[in-house]
Amino acid sequence: MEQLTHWLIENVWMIPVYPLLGFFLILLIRVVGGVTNDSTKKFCMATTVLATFMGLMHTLPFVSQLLAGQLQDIQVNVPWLKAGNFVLSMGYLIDPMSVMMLFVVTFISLFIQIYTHGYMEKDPGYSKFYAYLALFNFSMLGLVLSTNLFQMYIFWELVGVSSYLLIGFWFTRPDAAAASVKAFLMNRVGDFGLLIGILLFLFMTFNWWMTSAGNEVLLSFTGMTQFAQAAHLNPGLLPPAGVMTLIAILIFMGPMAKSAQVPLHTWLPDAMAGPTPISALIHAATMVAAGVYLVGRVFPVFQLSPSAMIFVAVIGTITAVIAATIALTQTDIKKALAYSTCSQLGFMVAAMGCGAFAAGLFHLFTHAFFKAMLFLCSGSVIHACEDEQDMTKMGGLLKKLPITGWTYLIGTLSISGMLWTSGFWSKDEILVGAQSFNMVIFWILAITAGVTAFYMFRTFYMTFLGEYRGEAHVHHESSAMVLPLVVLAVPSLIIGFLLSGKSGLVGLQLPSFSDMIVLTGMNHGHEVAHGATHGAAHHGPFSHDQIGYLSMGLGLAGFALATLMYWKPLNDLPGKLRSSFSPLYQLFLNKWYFDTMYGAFVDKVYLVFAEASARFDKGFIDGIVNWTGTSVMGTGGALRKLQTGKVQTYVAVVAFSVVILTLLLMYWFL
Amino acid sequence: MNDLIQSIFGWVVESPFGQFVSAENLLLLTPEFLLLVVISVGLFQTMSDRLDDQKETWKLSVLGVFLALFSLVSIFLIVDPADGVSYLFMDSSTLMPSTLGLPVFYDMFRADLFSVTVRFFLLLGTLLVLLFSRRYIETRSSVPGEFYILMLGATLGAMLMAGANDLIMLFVALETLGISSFILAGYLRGEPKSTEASLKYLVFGGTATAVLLFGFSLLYGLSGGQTGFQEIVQGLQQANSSGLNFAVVSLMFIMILGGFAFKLSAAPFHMWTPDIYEGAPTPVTAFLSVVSKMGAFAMVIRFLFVVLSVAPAQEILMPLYMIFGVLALISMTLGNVAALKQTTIKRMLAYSTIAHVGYLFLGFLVMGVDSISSILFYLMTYVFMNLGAFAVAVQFTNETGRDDIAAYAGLVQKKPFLAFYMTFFLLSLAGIPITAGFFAKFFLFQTVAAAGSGYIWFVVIALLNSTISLYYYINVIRLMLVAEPSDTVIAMSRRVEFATALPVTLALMICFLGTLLLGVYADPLMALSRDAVSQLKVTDSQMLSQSK
Amino acid sequence: MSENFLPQNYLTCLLALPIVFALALPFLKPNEGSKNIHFYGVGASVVLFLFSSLAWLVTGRLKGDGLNLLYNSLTEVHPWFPNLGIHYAVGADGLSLTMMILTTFLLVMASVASITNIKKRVKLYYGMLFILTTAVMGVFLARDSFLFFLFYELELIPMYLLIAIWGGPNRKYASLKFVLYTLFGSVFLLAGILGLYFHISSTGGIAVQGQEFLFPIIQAHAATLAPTAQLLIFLAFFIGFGVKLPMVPFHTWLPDAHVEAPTPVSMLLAGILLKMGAYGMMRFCWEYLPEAAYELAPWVAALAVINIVYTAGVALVQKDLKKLIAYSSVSHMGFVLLGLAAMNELGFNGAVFVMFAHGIVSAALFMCVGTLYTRTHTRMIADFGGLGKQVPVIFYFFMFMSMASLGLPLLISFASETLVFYGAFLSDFFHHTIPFFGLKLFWHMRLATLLSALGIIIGAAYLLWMLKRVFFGEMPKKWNQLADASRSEVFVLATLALLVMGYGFQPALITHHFEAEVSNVARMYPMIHARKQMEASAARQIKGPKSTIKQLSSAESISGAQVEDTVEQQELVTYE
Repeated sequence: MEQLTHWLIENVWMIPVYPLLGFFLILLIRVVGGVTNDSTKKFCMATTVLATFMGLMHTLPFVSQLLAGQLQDIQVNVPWLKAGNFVLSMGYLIDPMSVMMLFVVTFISLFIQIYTHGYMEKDPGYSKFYAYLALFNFSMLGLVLSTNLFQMYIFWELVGVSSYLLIGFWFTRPDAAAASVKAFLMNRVGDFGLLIGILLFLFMTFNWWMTSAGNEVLLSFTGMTQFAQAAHLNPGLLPPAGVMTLIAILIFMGPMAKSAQVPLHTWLPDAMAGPTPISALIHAATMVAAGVYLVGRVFPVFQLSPSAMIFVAVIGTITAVIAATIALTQTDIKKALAYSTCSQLGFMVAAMGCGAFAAGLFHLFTHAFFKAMLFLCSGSVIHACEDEQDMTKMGGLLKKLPITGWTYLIGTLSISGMLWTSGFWSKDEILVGAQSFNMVIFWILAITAGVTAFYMFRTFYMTFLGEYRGEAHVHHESSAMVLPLVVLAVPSLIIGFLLSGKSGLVGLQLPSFSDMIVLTGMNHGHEVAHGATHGAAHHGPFSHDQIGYLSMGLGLAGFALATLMYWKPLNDLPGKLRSSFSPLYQLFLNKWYFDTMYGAFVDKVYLVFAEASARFDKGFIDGIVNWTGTSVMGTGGALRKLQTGKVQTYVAVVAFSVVILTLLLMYWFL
Repeated sequence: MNDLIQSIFGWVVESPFGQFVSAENLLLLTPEFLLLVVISVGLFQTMSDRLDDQKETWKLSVLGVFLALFSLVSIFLIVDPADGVSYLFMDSSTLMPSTLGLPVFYDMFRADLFSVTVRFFLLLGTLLVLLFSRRYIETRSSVPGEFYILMLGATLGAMLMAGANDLIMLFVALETLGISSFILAGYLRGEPKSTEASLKYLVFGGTATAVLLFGFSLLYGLSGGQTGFQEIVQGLQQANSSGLNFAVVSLMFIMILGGFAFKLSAAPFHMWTPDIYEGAPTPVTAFLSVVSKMGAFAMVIRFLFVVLSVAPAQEILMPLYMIFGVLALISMTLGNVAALKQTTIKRMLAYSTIAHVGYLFLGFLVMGVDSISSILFYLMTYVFMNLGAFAVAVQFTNETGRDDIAAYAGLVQKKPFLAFYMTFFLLSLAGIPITAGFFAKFFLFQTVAAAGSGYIWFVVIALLNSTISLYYYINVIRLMLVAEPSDTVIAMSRRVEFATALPVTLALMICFLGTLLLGVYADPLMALSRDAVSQLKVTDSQMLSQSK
Repeated sequence: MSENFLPQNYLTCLLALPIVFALALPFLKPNEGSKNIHFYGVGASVVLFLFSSLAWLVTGRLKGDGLNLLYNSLTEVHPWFPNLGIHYAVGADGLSLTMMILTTFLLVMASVASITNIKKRVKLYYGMLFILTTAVMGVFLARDSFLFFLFYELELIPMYLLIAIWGGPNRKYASLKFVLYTLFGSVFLLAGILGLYFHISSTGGIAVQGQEFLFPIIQAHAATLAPTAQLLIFLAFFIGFGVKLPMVPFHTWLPDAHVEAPTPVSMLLAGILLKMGAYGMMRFCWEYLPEAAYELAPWVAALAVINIVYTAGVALVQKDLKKLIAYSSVSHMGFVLLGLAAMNELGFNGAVFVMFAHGIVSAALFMCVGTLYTRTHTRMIADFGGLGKQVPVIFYFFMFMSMASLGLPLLISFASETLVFYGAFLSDFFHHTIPFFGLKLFWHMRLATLLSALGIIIGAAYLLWMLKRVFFGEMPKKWNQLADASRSEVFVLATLALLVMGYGFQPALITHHFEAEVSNVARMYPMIHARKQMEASAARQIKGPKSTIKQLSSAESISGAQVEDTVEQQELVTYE
């Protein structure tokens, strides 16, 4: 056992390699095996699941170390791209944050891959789907293990492309095709900012990296932390404040796109056109959280610019509100969940912006479990209702799908922040962080938490309670799909409590999440990030407990309102509300017109520019080229006419030319 | 070999005729005398009106030209009459006085390396024209014999021009060439176009000669009544000490230049060229555009280089050299642009000749040893590539009776070799590697560019012109290689009559090999033309130093 | 492995080999469908590739002095036209060898692709292909500017015929445009070469007489050119090669040529012919004329931005699939310009790497388009739709190559473009404002990089939209019978895909072949920069006291900023 553990720890770099090998293996099987029959299908599934399982196995020893507070950071780098003295490296980094993410990704992935077997069984693209999943796992795990910003950018793009492939999995469907392209392009916009941000940061701090003080792998996270520390001691290292803010905001553009923050959020709801396991894995639990993870990784740099922190907090808050309001109006179950994801990501980002670094990651952690579970539940429902996603055509499914229904309820409770559920603890932390930062943000987030409870219970009531309103014949749940639900329900309920620092109440001695997750490279001087997450916790008018009651209260209010409106609707209350707040309702229903604006931008500006360029190219540039040709040819034709064959003409031309030449000569030399 | 030739010529020298002219004179002019002999014999032969007898003249002419070539090479490669040193082994770095050109007939003619080189290529060109003209003429004319005799006469004139070192000699040679050419141009009496060409040629040629003669007479006066080139220079020097009239010198220069420009068909004095080239029988066109042009260029080079680019004329005329640049630019641009729209291959090649003359004039603009030797080298390559193109055109006309470009479409499918040769020659004319034309252009432009940074613009315009020229050359290539066969080509037979095709094939092979070899390794000929031209200059300065 | 591993005349043999192959062609008798000719063609190109990869193998193992010894041993110089200073001189360094191997490799790919694409006049076709190969390799290997020009011109006619004979319906126009455009570029090229010759022969003295065209002589003497002359010669070369690159506004020949050319020819055109321009630019402009390059860097950067963004925009609205790919090809060549404008190790390495990466990726993309075209005989995007289900293999390769083209990490283009972006952004040779007809424009390398980076968004946009319109969605009924990729097509695409992945995963596999030499070129620029800065500050000090107080203060503020930047820059560059 000891040996095994040792081996697992030694070879932790294998974590992303397993799925990559799995991916190529499936590719090979598909090439060699040709058409996918049942046995190869099983093999593909087993390969992928095994790869993920191995990843989880590699992770577990670290998790136990982390819980025991004995985690030794590991960082290994190898040069990857070299030009002269400039070296960009790749490697892997094991620290609390990456262990946490490794656990989330491998654990949730594993169960979603099992779930997929049930969900995709009939699909002709079954093995392809597993190949994509393996590719995604590779990219995501590579992202988690990245030691430096450059490497993270690589995997950042790779998860993006996996997401593109999986959203467009059913590419014959127009909505899926459009959504995949949209997701990719939106993320590209973010990546553009990220790239420029990285470059600007590197440019501004190049001396530091190249001198012995920063003798680090370029752009490495530990190096960035050390730079931040050094900059605190010696502000001369810092670029001008405006530039620092610009760097942070540019880098933040990446997370904005990936974590679906306003205004780059519109791809996420559309991405629901992909198969539901994907929505659960990529667009709820893991990939979209990568943005928050990135912010966590470069947190010290963000802290160097207070304005950037405000920017992050504001963006997060706005996203939380806007997404929540849109979620109020959605009737598509997956879309509603998608906006809820968006909103929750807003909470996390806002927490980061408020300086509540650990709180944001904590919420990421808990959210991953319950949101994955919620999506899987929705998938179960959709699967049972023969691909029906509209909640107005559901209802009363609790009886037909009991396990799905109850686990969905657990998820709803958790996301609404009801007492003792995982969501409660993490949201609490965020609110604590927010109140020490800015009360306006605090109140907005608190009220949004109430709204969350409202729309989540709304979906629950519309789907599972009341009368069945659809036409489709409802199937039963399959075991492969139910198992992951049950497994994920457990952490959704209790993991928040276990890591809340109050686990002593039930006799466990687990550290609190915020004690556990510290920035690597911060171990020697705690001033920067750690101070922000801990020391600041006691500012503000409310105590920690009061905030707990407050969020509970607001959550209950949302629950009550939802119950009032949707369990046993009184006099069509939703309809009345709708008509009395018509403009607001229209705003929410049309998703605050973001898509409309983007559409207009693409059609009216971007395509017009492109069209104009093409016209210019064809008309003007090529026009000149062709004109040159034709005019030379035309001259040739004219000269031909001059050649009349008459001696008189020739003599005239000669005489004329001689005169001209003589005049020229006289002009030049006389 | 050496002894054999010595003894043969020894015998001639012993004869009464040999007593009249000095042995050396005779020896150095052997090729010309040989041609003269062939012409005389041929004239008797052509007295017979029988076609078969007439046809015999071709063999005689070919033999004569070949012998002339042989004798030229033998004399100057093997026997050096002065001291046994061969010119071609002359070390250009240590030019000794003994290797200077040898005066013939009281220095009216110079048998120097320059004239030998040019004469060699003149004879070679004539030989090639003779080779591919036989079938063309014999199917069209009832008296083909006279054609060959006239052509030899024209060649004789051109060869004398190459070495003429005296105004009188120059004029006589020019007229020998001119009058033969007028008749040749109108040789196909049945065709009105041919007759018209002849008449036009006569009119324009006469005008040009008159202008030239006027220029000569001014020079004669300016130099104090001298006709020999070296004497003219000396005369001018003497006159300069008492002050030369700039206006008169300029007028003289313009007159002579105008005459030359006419002869060389440089724009804007080119108007006669396309009509005559089109109207004349194709072999004559080939002859005019290559052999006659080369002779004229040799004359101009010698005259300009020996007389006018030497002080004092040079000092006075230096600013006027810009006129060469102007003529060059007009000529190349006009030639190339006008060639774009031509529909017959002859007319296209006529304009292309005008354009090439334009390029060559850039060499006069610089007027240095390098640039002039580049002109000479260009002319050598031009013999191969242009005559090659004409050979294909003649052969095509022989087989189809057409000479419009459209008829060439799809030629490669019937006559792959013919199409291939034509492609190669046209690419060479356009200056694409690996052909002689590429080097010729490159060397010419290089020497112009190397003369000073101000000249690079001329080079740029010339290069742009060669871009234009590629358009019409490649148009023919595209038609032959790419397009679907025209009706004419479809009607062509695949069969080749060996006997009639042999001379043409031979000519094509020579042209092809020449173009290819010069396109891969041109250094010997480059060195030759360099030596030849630098010798002109050296001769000149020697004379001057002697006179001082 | 010893540096004597390769025979002295290895490169000459390499250049002669394709010609030998071509000369053997007339003696072959084509059988039914000319299968044997195809077989011969493919076999010959494989032999050539294997032969050329010997050099690659050797350079792969050598480092430092060993490498230099190898390069010296490969150099071959024979006088050709002694009086004119022309030599037959061939030689190779890492850059040349990289481009050469790309050439022979793509020749193999193109030959295999020809099996399905070329049906008529196969013998002539391979003949032209081999002559083209010699010409292109000659360009990369020449060590004499005349020889370079000769090979540069030699490539014209085979390429012209390849388009004109085997091309599409509008091939007459396209091929003519190609040939005249390139010749137009050569005008400037030759003007540049002659300009250098004139300079060297007039100032070099007796020491260089008879060697004026040799590269080492040019390199040694170009620096003594007067600034204006250097600028002019630089511009001549820049325009000359810019036509080939192609660089806006000299690019319009390329889309036409691509659209008409048959698939294998398109592959070669995009894969290696454009590289001749890029290679020449790097050699003549940036290696031999660094001062002018330094002076003109702001303009080059601006052109790079236009090349990248503008043509990407044009690509976005193309209705013809092949035109779209062609414009994307132009757009990507802009990264070469950007890398060159950066003038540091990263930028130069990036530029060379982009040449290589673009060679492979664009060839593969044209292959993809070709596979579709041979089946459907249409290139209009609107005619397609939903093909993903019908022809999955083509679809996945197309998608893969598009991903490679839009710079997906761990694929080849990403690594190359990363170098360019990092290089360009970290380059700090020109500052803040540049004069523009009296105005002072805010312009520096960072801004140029920022704008160029927009290319990665637009690039993704047109490629993804193209994929969506061609492969996603519902399929029109008429394509029901479409067959998927044939074996030879899969071979080509899979080989290219393997390279794309392999070099993408491990860029060092390729960069170490040229990194040392290319980085060496970059080492000149910090010195030039430091000197120019010193001259500028000296000039300011002289000028300073004479100006009025107001001017002085403004000048001070500007110069102060610049001096600060200078210090920073010098610190930046001393990391070497």
